[in-house]
Order: sequence, then structure tokens, then C-alpha cells
Amino acid sequence: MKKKNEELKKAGELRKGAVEKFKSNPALPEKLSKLDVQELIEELRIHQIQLEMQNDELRKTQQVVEESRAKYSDLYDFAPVGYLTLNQGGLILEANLTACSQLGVERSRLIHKPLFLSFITKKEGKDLFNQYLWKVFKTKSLETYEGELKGKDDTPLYAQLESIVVKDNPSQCRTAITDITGRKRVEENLRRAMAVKSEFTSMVSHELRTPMTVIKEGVGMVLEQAAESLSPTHRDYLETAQRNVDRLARLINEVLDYQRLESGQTEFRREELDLNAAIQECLPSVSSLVRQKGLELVTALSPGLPEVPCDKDKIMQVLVNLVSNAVTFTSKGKIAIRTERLDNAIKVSVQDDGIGVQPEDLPKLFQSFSQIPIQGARKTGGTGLGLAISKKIVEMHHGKIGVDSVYGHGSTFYFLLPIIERRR
Amino acid sequence: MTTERHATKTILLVEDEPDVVLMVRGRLTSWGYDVIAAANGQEALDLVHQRLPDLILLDLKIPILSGREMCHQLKTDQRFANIPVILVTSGNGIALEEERRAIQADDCVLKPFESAELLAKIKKWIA
Repeated sequence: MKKKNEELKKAGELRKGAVEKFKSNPALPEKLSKLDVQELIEELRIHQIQLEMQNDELRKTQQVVEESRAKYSDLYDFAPVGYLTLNQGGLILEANLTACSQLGVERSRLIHKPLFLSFITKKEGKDLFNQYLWKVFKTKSLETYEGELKGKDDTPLYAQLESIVVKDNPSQCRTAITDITGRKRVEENLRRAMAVKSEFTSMVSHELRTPMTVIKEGVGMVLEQAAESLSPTHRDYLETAQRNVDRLARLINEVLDYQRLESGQTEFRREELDLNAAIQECLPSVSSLVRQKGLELVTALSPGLPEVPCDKDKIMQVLVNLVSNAVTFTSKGKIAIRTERLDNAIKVSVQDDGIGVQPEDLPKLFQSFSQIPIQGARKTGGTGLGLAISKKIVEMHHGKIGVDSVYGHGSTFYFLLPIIERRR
Repeated sequence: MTTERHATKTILLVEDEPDVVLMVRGRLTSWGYDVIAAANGQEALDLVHQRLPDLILLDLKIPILSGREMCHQLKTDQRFANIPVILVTSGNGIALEEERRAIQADDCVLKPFESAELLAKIKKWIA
């Protein structure tokens, strides 16, 4: 009913306008014959029908537009994310229903009244949001903010905001609010679990050291001070015990190393390093490892390599790990250490004449505590952490570690360290 | 073999685990040192005053007065500051070295230690 009245009112106004326009320019001839009038009336009638048809068309189009608007308005209001339009001062100009329910405020009380800032409870959050909003309007590209908001019934709502400046109106931005409370909770639980794990590992390792000291010293003293009174069998027993205490000590050290790497507690020093020189420097200890097993050590260091930024001790720890791994799995032949320059990295590789790796074992190699059983060979006494630690260290240098191996024909373990071109 | 002239040197062993005391005392005695032992930091400080040891082997995790506090008190007391302190303790190698510097201890050995390494470090400070 109301709609009909509006239409009539509009039509009346249109007519008034048309009459005025006609009077200002009445372009009609002075005298008209009856025939002329007949013709004119016919013409007018046709025009009238044409206009009515156009009117019908317009009404239909308007209906389609209105239906479409209602559809988009529903899509806007009931979208799974909250939508806001903000101005440069953070004033809320528009909000969809999802945003209203996320913030727990009715739409009428949200629009044009509060600053979005009033939904950020923490001082540092407000500062960050102000910086964020400034950035949104400055860059005009999609920007993201994560933070805690005051949600429904004052419960905290962890939200991710994504904002972009309106194309036709650079003083406004559209902001999407996604509720990430669930994700945050999972992340927090995970962080807490990691902290507990790390604390537990470090406590257990710590507590193990004291009894190990006692065993190691007790056994050691008997072996040294009462050697003559021991039978060869008893001596063998004690030496085996001693070797295993040492193995346990190594395991503890590596578990701690790994845990510190995993939790990001390890500090990395960066120095420009000549890898060839560093390898030369640690050759004596590496070659003694190789010779102990009656193997030959070969080096092929490619000259003139650029320096790469890295932590020397840790990278050399990786090299020693790879060599001692190679030694473990090689019973005769040679171990070769090579360096070469690739396009944008330096490759350091350790090649052995050992048994190689079965294709199905390749993906397991760099996982923690994975030890590949060797057919017919003694257990190695390794910890299963050497390669996992090496992988972490190399990755901390933005490098890559890997292996090429053909089962029965030896393996080549390598790592790549990126060359950083310095622009001057 | 190692029992030579240092028979008169006295080492204070500060350690609250009796089993560790037994073993380390055995080692030190076999190397010809006199050993006095304290199970906590306060007892250790008292022994330092009474006996003025030539060197201190210190576990950090000891009751009453922690190894850290005890070491700090010694190193800030002119009468005792020059007694070498070797930390013999658990923990992580890298963190331990930082700790050692922080409390001005002279050296450190991580448990479980190689006896040869411990002897070398003792000899370095009281040759």
C-alpha cells in the first residue's frame, strides 16, 4: 500500500515537471487542420503505449535489481566472516550481522558510533591497530592484523582482520573479521605442550647425569686400579659397561642439542666463512675417525669458493656427523669430502663406498631416532639423532641437506649453503 | 704413577650426592690429593674458612646455599678469591659455559666426565 502511494506521488511529480517543461517551449504550429489533429492524436496514442511498455520493462528491471540487492544483502549479512567498513579514524560506517554478533553489539549501536578501537582491550593492541590502519590507507593493498578483541559478553575474541581501501573511496576501507579463537587455543596448547616437553627433556637429562657419573667412575676405577685381579671375561664385561655409559652420555648430549634446536634456544653466530679452510681445519679429527676403521680419506675441495655466512662450529658439526655416519656404514674403501660451487649455493658432500640406503629408507633418514637396521651387521651404537640434528642446523642456515644413494653402491650425503650476493 | 709431589694439596669437593662423593673422592685420593667434602654450600664455606683448600670442585645444584651463591661469595672475598673453582655439574654444555663466566668460576667439567679431563683441569690450576 505504502509502495503504491509512493509510486503515485512520484508520477504526479514527473507530470508537474513535464508540464513546466512543455510550457517553456510549446513547439506547436498555430493552426491545425482536423486531419492534422487526427494524425497527432494517433501519434500521441502510440507514444503513450510505447511509454507504458517501457514503464513495465523498468518495473521488471527494478524488481530484479531489488531481488538481487536483497540476495547480496543476505550474503553480506550472513557471511561466515564479519564485514565492516571503516573510515581513516577507525569509525565503523557499515557492519554486517556476523560482525555485530562477533562483537556482541546490535547494528544500530555499532554504526557511526563506536570507534573500532573500543573493541580492543589491550593498550599495545590499540597501538598496533592504529599502526595497522595507517598502513592500510597508506599501502592501499590487503593488510592483515591479528589480535584480541572484546567479543560477545566481554569474552575475548581472537580475530584476524583483513582490510583493503575501497576502490572508489580512498577514505574508507573494507575489513573482514575472522574468528581465530579456536586456532589460537590450539596453538597455545601446542606451545604449552612443547614447553613442558622441553622442560621435561632437560630435567630428565639433567637427572641422568649424576647416576651416570657414579657408574662411569666406579667402573673406570675398578678397570684402572684392579686390572691384574680381573679375569679377561670380567674385564670385557666392565669395558662393555663403560662403553655403554659413554654411549648414554652421547645420547643425552644429542637429545639436549636436538631439543634446543627444535625449541629455537640455540644461538647461531654468523660469520663469513671460507668453507674450504674450515674443512681443512677439522681434517685431523675427521681423518682419525676414518682411519680408525682402516678406510681411506680423499678430499676434493674446489678452489676459490665465495665465503658464506654461517656458524662455523655448527656447520663443522654437520660435516663430522656426515663423516662419522659414512664411516659407520662403510667397511672397506674410501670416504671422499668434496666442495663445489653451484649457481647460488655451495655444495659440501661426503661420499662413501658403504652399503648404501634402500629406496624405502631414504625418507626416514633425517627423522629423529630413526636408525636403519643393517643386515648382518652389529648395531652401530649411534643415537639416531645425528642426521636429524644436522638437518636442523642446515635448515637454520636456509640451506638444504640430502642424500643420493644406490643400494649396494654407497651413498653421498650433502648439504647446500646459499651464497648471498652482496650488492655494493 | 700420578702420585707424585702434589700429595699435600687439598681439594674441597662440594657435592650433595653421597655416591658421587664416594667415586670422586676415590679418584682424587688415587691421584694423591687430600679430599675434604661438603654436602651443601654453607658447610662448604665453613670448610673454606677452616682449611683453606687449594682447589674447589663445585656442583651447582646443592642445598642451603646454592653453588652459584657460594661461588659468588668466594669470588668477592679477597681472602678466597684466588682459590680455583672448577664446576663439576650437570646441565647443558653451552649453557654451563655461560654460567661459569657469569659466576666467575675458573673452569667447568660436565657430568659424566672423563677422568683424564678432570685430572688435566685440576693440574692446570694447581700444578
